[in-house]
Amino acid sequence: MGIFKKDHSIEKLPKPVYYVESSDDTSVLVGIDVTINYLNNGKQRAVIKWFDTVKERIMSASEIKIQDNCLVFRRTEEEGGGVYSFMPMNLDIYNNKIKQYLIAGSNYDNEEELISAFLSTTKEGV
Amino acid sequence: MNPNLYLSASGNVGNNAWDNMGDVEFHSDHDSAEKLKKDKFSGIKKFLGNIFHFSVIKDVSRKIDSFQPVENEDNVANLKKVSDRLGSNEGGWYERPNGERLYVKFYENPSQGKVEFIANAIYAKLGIKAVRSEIINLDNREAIASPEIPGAIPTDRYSQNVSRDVQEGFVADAFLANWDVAGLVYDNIVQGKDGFYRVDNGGSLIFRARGGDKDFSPDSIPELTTMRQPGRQSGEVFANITDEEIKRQARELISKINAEDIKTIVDASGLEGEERDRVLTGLLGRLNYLTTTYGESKTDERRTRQDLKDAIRRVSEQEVEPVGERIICPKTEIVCDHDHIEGQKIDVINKKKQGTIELSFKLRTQTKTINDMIRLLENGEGEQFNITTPSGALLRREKITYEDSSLDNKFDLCDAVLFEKEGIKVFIADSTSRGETANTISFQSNSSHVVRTAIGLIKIEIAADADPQSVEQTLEDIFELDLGIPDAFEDVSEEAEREYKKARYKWQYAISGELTPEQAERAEMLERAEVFPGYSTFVEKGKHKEYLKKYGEDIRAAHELYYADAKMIIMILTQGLMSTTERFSRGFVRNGMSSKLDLDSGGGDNVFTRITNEKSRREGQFDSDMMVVFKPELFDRTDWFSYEEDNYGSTDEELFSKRLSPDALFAKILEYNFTDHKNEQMFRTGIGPNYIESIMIDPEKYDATISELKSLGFEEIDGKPIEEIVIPRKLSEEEKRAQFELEQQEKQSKIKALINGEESYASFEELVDLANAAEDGNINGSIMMMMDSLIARGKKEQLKKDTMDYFIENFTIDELKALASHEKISTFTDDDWQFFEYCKDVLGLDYVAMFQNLKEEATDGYF
Repeated sequence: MGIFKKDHSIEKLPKPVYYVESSDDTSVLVGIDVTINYLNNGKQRAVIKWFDTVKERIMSASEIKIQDNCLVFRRTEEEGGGVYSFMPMNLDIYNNKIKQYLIAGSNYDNEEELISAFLSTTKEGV
Repeated sequence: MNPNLYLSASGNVGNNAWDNMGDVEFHSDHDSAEKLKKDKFSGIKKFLGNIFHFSVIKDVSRKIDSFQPVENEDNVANLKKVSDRLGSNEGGWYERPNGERLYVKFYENPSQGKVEFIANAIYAKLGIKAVRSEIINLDNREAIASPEIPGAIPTDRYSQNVSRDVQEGFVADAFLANWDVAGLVYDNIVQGKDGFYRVDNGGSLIFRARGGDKDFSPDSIPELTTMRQPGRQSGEVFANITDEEIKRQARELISKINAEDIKTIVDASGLEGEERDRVLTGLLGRLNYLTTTYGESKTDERRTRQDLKDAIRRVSEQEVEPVGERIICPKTEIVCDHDHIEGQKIDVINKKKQGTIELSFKLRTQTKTINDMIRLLENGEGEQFNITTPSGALLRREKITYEDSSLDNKFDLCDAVLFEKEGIKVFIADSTSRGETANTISFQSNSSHVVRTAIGLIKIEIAADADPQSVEQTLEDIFELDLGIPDAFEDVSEEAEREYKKARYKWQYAISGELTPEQAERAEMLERAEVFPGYSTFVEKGKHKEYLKKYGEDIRAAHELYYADAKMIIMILTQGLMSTTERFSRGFVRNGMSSKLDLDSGGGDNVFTRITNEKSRREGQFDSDMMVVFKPELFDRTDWFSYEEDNYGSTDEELFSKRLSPDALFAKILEYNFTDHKNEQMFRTGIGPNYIESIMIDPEKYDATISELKSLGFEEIDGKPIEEIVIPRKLSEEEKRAQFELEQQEKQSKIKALINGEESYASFEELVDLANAAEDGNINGSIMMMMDSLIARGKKEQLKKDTMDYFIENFTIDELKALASHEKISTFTDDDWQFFEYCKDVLGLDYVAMFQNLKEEATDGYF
């Protein structure tokens, strides 16, 4: 595929819920329904979109890497730059990195309940 | 705008007006005045006769009903001077060959002549007899020329005092700030054949009679008082004007002239720059003052004060009703305060389930008194629980907590200072602190490191069974004595509302300087409207039409949701969309798994939307389950702001200063042809169901959802079938295919047109876009064919620049480096390399130079 070929394709990350981290941006925390819209037409190579338990987030990426179910992207300089990483949610991450930033994060014994609880936030956005 | 500034200025206006009027009338160095001083009042009639010798000149009869030019260049060229000046300003009588006479004045500051022109034209428009004048150029100098009044004779104080013409023009005189209307020796009004004429109005608006500058307040008309006070010439003439007469004249004035008339007159005067702005702002402001003070609706309908106790009684009577599975506490608001409370309103929420009525609002800035109280606690004295405030309230540390109405869920927003008196609790948010683990305050998009939705927040809890009358009294004491807000529960004065509108207008349209006269006029037109149940704000009615006309009839704000079912749709259609803080403050704190980061960034006070057009809504690049599309009237609201990219709705000062005005936002989105979806708008508190135009849902869920909605009794909304409101989001596969094929055909036609020369030029970016639709799929080959054609038509240099810009804009640094060094890189194919060679050879692109230049310019440390 040549550099001038415009190929818009959408990829959805396999896991339903991710922990989102960026050393440059603490407004990110949880990513639900993470999708990558590949643009392949310039420095803005993709648009990453997810629901973060409160609102949808959309950011432009200049570089993307997907490895071992994790996504790492560099946000375009026009949007302020920074590197964002998405790791599949698990109990360990939840207890150590997320719970304190939730309205009232409960305790969970298993991952299934945890994921289900996060997915229920999609019904609260109105 | 700091309303204190206004209040201060207003006070000064009154004082200065009085002092300045004295200045004008008693400290003039006017030649005639000096003579008069020497003569005292002896021989006054003789003197007046000299001044008004023009009054016996006959035969000029002009109707004073328009402000069209009276002199053309030929007429001016034939004027002959026949007498010397009559007043302090250089000038004299001039005569035409046919005997017509004009009095011509050369002001030291030509702007004063323009101001006199404006005053005379406004008198004419109002049907008040005044000399008609025009700005002319005589002997290469600007002057004001006025034809003589036929048969005019001098007047005196008594005759002016009883003249209907004079008396009925009082409000107009005050409106124009024509302090010198009567004249130093009552010589500025003459009696013509058909009545009394104001003949020397150069001391109007921003000028004193002698040309000095004077205050010309747009906020009020102090002259309605000062020009009636005896002891001054105008006061002697107008002393008998009653308030009732002022009201009558004011109503007549506003029925005869409007803002457009005033702008036309001011424009016709040729006045420019700051002086024009001052005059126009003053006149429009004064017109508005007369309208709001004396207009039919304002004086006849007393402003009803929604006082606190009535609001408490009213909201207490409302039952808490579940909406779907939710319980949302009823809310009302009282519009009050002068300049302390954001939005000039206090929310009153019925929290009967908790046994309380809650008042909630935000301060625009924290008062010194509050800061002193907080400092008292910070100094350690707050450890004791018996600090008593001046009102007798007890002061201690607490926190602001949101509680669910029906479950045990709760959320501590931040720490607070609490004043408690007679069972009433006043919580003042300490947005800098949240319990012991302060590090839980998110600081991205929030360099202030505070809970931004808590800034200025005050929450008051009142026992639901408390007596509203005594509650009001107690709260007034606390507010006045402890918080330093004596007027919190007072009705909003017209002046305070006017100032608030101006401040809001500047905020909404991201205006950093002073408002222009046109903007100030628009600000005056803002109206308060309920935009979400229980929440009102100012709207600029009809503003959305301007946006649609400029940026496309199909632009809409939309909100995406990641879940859709019939119950959710019903909830949206019946209650609209609510911000996080609105949900929380009304007792819905349901899902603890939601992030609190929007509360920290400030975004939580708002409902988020994005700008879309028909195509982007239909095609929807992403797969959210539901999109709520709002009517364009939503853009009329003045309580929203916008970012070009996702900033989580932050209100952080640094980011906020970079917010886009609505016009800048729409222009940006249009520039990207609606392909950039990262923009975000933040609408305060909520978006009412009346703003919902449609709800778009996934076509796969559509039929089942519609069936469920109907089974739940929702067949129609506002008389429209539910299928017209709830619509499938995406195009069908067939529609998508048809649309795609149509676009491809159009692009292929354009490729041919560019190759055969029917189209003269297209940018490199467009060539790439077109080539992607090439019938043979050979993208690079198609680009080269089109480029060959353009080069053959002499477009080489333009194309070279375009192509270079495209490469720099769209290629990564690594790609540009590879181009310069001819190193392999995975994103370039062999076909691409051939194309780059073509560009080098045919266009003369120098990749090494491009890379070097970029490297030198780079400031982001990437290299």
